[in-house]
Amino acid sequence: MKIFNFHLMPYAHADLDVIKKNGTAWLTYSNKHYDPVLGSDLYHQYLDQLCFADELGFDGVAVNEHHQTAYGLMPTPGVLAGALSRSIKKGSLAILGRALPLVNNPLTIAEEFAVLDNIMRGRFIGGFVRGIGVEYHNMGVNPAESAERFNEAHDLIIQAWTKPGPFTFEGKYYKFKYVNPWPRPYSSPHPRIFIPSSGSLDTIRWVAQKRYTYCQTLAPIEAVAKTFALFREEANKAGYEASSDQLAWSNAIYIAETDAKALALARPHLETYMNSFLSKNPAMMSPPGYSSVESIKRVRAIKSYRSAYQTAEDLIKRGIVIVGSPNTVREKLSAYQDLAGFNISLTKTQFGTMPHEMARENQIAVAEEILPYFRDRAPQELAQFA
Amino acid sequence: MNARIETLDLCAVKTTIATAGSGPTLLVLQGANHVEGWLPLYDSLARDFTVILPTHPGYTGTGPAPWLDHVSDLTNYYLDFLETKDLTGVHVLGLSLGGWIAADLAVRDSSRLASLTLVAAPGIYLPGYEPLDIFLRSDSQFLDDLFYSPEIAAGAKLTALDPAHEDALLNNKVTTAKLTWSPRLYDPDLRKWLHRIKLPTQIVWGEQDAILPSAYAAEWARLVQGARVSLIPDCGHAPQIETPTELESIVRNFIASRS
Repeated sequence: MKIFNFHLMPYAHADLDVIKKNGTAWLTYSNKHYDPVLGSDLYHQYLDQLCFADELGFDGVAVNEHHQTAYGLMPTPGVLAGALSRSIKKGSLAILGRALPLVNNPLTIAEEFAVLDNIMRGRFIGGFVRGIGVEYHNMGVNPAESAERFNEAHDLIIQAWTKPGPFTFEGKYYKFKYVNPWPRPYSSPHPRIFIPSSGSLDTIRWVAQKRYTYCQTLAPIEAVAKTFALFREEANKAGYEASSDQLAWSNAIYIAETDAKALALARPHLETYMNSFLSKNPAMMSPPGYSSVESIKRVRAIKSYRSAYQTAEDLIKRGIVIVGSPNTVREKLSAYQDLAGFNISLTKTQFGTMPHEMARENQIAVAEEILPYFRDRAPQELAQFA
Repeated sequence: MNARIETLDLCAVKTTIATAGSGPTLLVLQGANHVEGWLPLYDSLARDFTVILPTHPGYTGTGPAPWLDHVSDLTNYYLDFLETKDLTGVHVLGLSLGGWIAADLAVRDSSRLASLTLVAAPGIYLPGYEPLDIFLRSDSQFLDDLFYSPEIAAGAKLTALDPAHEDALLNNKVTTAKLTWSPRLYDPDLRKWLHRIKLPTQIVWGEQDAILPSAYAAEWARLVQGARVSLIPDCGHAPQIETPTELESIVRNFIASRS
């Protein structure tokens, strides 16, 4: 299994009482509550953690994109990836991903990823997402156009990378007389592509058809297993056998000497992450037209665990996160890998309000106790059939 | 309800049209909520008018309208509609979104129109008077916003939130988002050409409209020459349901005074 160190870069100093009163850490949580002095320290700590992950031997590091929220401070992930690109010496660097429909000129994303892929000499992974529902509220983009914009922007970017320019692109939303970006990507034909999703059927099918890597965002492991099974079915329908390298599970791991100690230490940060930083307002998260009715129902089923207050015990029990002694974490991660059949773990070692030193110790524990054990481990059930 | 229902296949979209009464044509262009259907108000008006209530393409039960991207696409559709039905001397009653379409229609071609009544119409932007963010409201909250009277809101919830309407509500919301998300509830080009409207026009607004502030009534009246304003007290965004008697007499008196 490849284990990436994934960071959300949350605003760990968020005032939880204000968030509670406001009802959400998104959209309407005023940025007057952002303290730039504390925030700048966080940026340095988080970037240091990701550089440290590379030194520790993680297979890669990953950042993502969210807007106008304390949940994550990476509205322009290319800037953070740029800051990391000269320091990540061994592993891959992934942006999971850029929200294509939220920009008016997706050609800039083709350019940004191509530059990063050149600096990384091909160790760059590009992710494409639609952006989550609330981002259609806060970026002013029409959610009813989201799917069409995503498909068109994706096609434009792939063509920009693979078709010799200059050429003309006349889409419904994006129109260019000249498409001819310099540089071309370092990777041939283009950087590896990962597609994170919360489990939308349309996305699963599309990723399988494109033979990209599907990344399941935070969800109980049973639901993850079902989603990955669906992905394999869709790959079969598309005429091929999906590889476990096409399946990535996004999780959080926290390790301490004993299960009890790990639970006690992780609890406040986990519970803040799940209950204060994630939004639960359906009108905010599912604007009209963002998903098909079929997909809305599927995502609702997966996310039903979010409806009430989530205790750390719930999150652990349902296999949304893994917390415990080194032995417990190894056992669970192995069992989950075999159950769901993934070969990539996108692992957060810092979440919610977790401070820098605690995150570093956790990274060291994962590097020492988990990485060596999983380096050559493939999903075992699937291995039998291979 | 005594309306005759017919199906119309126009611009590759099948819609239903309800018609009742006799006399001069009164074309009712509905709002975006669109599940309210044929109202008692239309029966009353049908005593002296031929009331025609079409379903907008893209709304309740019409199936997809592949050409529908902007409100102006609906406007052009209704230009085709008036020609196809060969309607002339048409009095238009435009409710909310329907009022926006009606104004746009009159800008483009008013030759088949006799008068305009715009009720709580979006379509223009007045800085400092933000519409409510309807897309951040649940279906239930939206009905609370729609009416001034909590009793009427409660009654509307009984019918509108019936699971039988769930698909229609969801579909209509998607179409409304598609048409009005950004710019939010207006077309920046519309106000530039409202001076072209030479028809007798009246602007009607519920004084307690929580969705689109009644300050918009004066702005419409400023932009459309000779337009007259009628404000309805104790009424929200949907006078056709909340104060049908007042709206009926406003429509009747206006048309009578201009004929």
